Amino acid sequence: MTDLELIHQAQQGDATAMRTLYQRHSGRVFTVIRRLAADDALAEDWAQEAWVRVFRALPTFRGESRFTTWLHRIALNSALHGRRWRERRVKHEAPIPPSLPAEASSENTALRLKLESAMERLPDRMRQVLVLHDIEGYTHEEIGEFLGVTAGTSKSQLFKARARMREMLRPAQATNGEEVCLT
Amino acid sequence: MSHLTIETLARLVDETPTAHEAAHLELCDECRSELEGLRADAAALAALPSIEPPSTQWVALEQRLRQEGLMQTPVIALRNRWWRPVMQMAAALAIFVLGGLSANLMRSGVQPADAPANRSGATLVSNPSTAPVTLVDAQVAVRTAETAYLDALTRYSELVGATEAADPLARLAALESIVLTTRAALGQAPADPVINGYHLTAVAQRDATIKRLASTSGNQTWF
Repeated sequence: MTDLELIHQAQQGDATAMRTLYQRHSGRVFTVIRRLAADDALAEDWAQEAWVRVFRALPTFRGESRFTTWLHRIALNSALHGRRWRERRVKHEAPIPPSLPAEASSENTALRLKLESAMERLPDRMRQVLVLHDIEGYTHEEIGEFLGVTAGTSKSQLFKARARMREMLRPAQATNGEEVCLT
Repeated sequence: MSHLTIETLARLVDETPTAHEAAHLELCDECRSELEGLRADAAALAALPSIEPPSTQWVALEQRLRQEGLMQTPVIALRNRWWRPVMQMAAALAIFVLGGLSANLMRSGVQPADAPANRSGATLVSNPSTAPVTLVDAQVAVRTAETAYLDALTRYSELVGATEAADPLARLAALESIVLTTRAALGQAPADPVINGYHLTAVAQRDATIKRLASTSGNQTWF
């Protein structure tokens, strides 16, 4: 069954159609929200809020844009303008964890964990821009629209975020003794 | 020679360098290497896999959607109520099995480690008057039981140390593969209880492994 067929049924409140739509798209929605929130509990809250907003707004969905695009925008708005930003625990000061053992069989997993962990340590605005641009593929103009800033500000935050990430991810041997290009 | 700043290099990940910057990069191994590192980071970020929502999210969402009247509650409730005697038989069977297990444990002198969970489980099934009345109630009961089962399984694994694998990262990678597979299968058969069971178990085990990795690395927020 296509998304559009499911949407028609879900617009009538059909539980199975709603569940199927959720199962199809919950991974992508949760992924972007979790990365923006950098906190499990907050991400769960926002993801639920996003889905409730989606199902509330579903009767108004006319199929003029792709469902995934529409859904993603609602998810982003829930996360970027979600409640409890202030209540989020501040973790950026936490030290970078020691490198995980990177055996050949699990190198990718180790790298992924390091990337996710480093992202969590970025200041909120830098992380938002990095996630939206380098992971989700939005343009600076779109990001500016989401965040209420100019495209130039988005760019500047992105470059700072990348620089911070590089500092956190740089292999230990490169920072031992020799300073590389940090002027 | 003064190097390019790290933020300038971060810009050059996806923008064209000026003539001056290009000339510097031509000559400076260090800046070139730093730029390669930045590009590798960006590529790795773009290739990050998706993060699975918690297995319990749908249950909570479904409850809220029903409360808000956004989701219909089927009231078909199985007209002939043929399932009532079936539920009662199942409850009786569960009591028999649990009773037998308890008797065996008592005979062998072993105390159940998760006695409270067992007690609540027995209470649930031993009272046919609490049997689900509608199909939706039954679905919620099944999901609640799944969650309780997974919690108990996780606790059991912790107690016996069964999940203390030599290489938790390898285990995590394997569990993620299983989650992706079962998730794809759920796309084909969303209501299949067997596939749901496998999926929930894999997600719970993966989450437990991530928590274990986080606690051993001293970082509480890895996922």
